[in-house]
Amino acid sequence: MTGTRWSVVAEQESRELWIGGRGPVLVFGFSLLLSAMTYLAATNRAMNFLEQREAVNLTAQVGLAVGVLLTVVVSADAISGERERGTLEGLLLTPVSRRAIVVGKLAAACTMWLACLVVTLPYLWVLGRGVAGAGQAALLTLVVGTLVAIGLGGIGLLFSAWTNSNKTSLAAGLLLLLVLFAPTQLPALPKTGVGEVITRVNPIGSALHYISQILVSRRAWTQDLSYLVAPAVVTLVVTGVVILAGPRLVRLTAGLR
Amino acid sequence: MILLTFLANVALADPTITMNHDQLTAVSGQTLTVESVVSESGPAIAHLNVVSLDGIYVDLEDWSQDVTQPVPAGSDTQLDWEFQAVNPGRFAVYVVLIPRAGGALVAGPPVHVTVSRRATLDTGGALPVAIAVPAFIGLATLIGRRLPLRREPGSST
Repeated sequence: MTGTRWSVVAEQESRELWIGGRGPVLVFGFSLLLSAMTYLAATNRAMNFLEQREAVNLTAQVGLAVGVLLTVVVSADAISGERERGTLEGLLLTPVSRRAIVVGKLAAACTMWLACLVVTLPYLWVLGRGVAGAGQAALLTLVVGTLVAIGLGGIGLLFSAWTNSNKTSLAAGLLLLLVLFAPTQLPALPKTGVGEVITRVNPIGSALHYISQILVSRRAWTQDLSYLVAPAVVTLVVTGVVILAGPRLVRLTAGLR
Repeated sequence: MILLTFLANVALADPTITMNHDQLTAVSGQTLTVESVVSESGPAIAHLNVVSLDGIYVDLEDWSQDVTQPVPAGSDTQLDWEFQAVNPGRFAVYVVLIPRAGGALVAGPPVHVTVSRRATLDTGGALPVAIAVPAFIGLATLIGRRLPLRREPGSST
C-alpha cells in the first residue's frame, strides 16, 4: 500500500514544484548558465582552445554539479518549508503514511535533477557533435548524476527534517555542497596520495573525476568504476535512513524522537 | 664474492631506457600513455621531456603534470607516462635518467608523436541552442505561471 501511496505524494509534490512553483524558474536560471558557458566555450578564443571532449566534459560536470545543487535546494525545503508555511499539519492528516510522505518528497525533489539533465542534453549535443561524445556524456551524466542527486537530495531532506527553520536547512545543505565541491576545483588533487583518498571519499569529487576519466581520458566505463563507490554508498545509506526513519522524520517539530 | 661481483656489475653497468613505442599519432587534446623500462640503474630520477621538431614553443606543464618519477636501484623499473598532446605538429617525447649519485645523464630513445589539428567548437551551432533553450523554458515558465490564475475562478466555484 505504501508503495503506491508514495507515488501519490510524489505526483502531488511534483505538480506543486512544476506548475506555478519555483521549479521552472530554477531550471530557467540553469539554462541561462549553460547557455552562457556554451556560447563562451564555442566563441571565446581563449576557451575555444578546449578540445571538444573537454568542452563536453565541462558541460556535463557543470550540469551535474548545478543540477545536484538545485535538487538539494528543493529537498532542503521539503519538510522544514512545510513547517514554516504551516501546511505540514494538513499533510499529516491525509491518509498517507509518514514514510510514504518522506519517500514521495525525495522522489519529487529528484525530478529537479531529471529536468536539469533534460536541459543539459541540447548543450551536450551541440558541443559534442562529430566526436561521438555527446551520447556517451548524456548516458554517463544520467547514471552518475542520478546516483549523486538521490544521495545528496536525501541528505538535504534529512537536514529539512531535523531543522525547524527553512533557512537553517538550506544553509546546511548549501554548506555541505560547498565543502564537497571545493576540493574538485584543485585539478591535481587526484594525482597525490592523500588527494586521491579525499577524491574517492567525496561523492561529488569522485563522480566528477569518473566522468572526466571516461570523457577526456577515454577510459573504459569499467576501468575506474571504484570511483563510484562513494556516491553509491552515500545513496544507499541515505535512502535506507530515509525509508527506515521516515515515520520519525515527518513531525510537526524538528528532530528524531 | 658473488655478491660483490653482482654489486660491481650493477654499479658499473650503463643504465638503459627502452620505450614501448617509437612512433605515435594523436589529435590535439588527446591523452596518450607511453611506457618506459629503466634497466641496470642505480637510484635515479627519471624525467619526461617533450621537444617540438617544428620549432614551436612547448610548455611541458601543459603536456603533463607528472614529469618526474623516482627510479629505485636494481632490477628493471617500469614507468608509465601519461601526457596530453596539446599542440598540433611533430614532437619527440623522451625520458632522461638523472643518477642520484652523480654522473652523466642517460637519455632514452625518442617517441615520435605526430599531432594533427582538431576542429574546435562550431560557433554557428552553439548560438541558436544558447538562445533557443532559455527562450523555450522562459516561455513555458510564463505560461505555467498564468495557468493556475486562469483556473482559479473555476476552481473556487
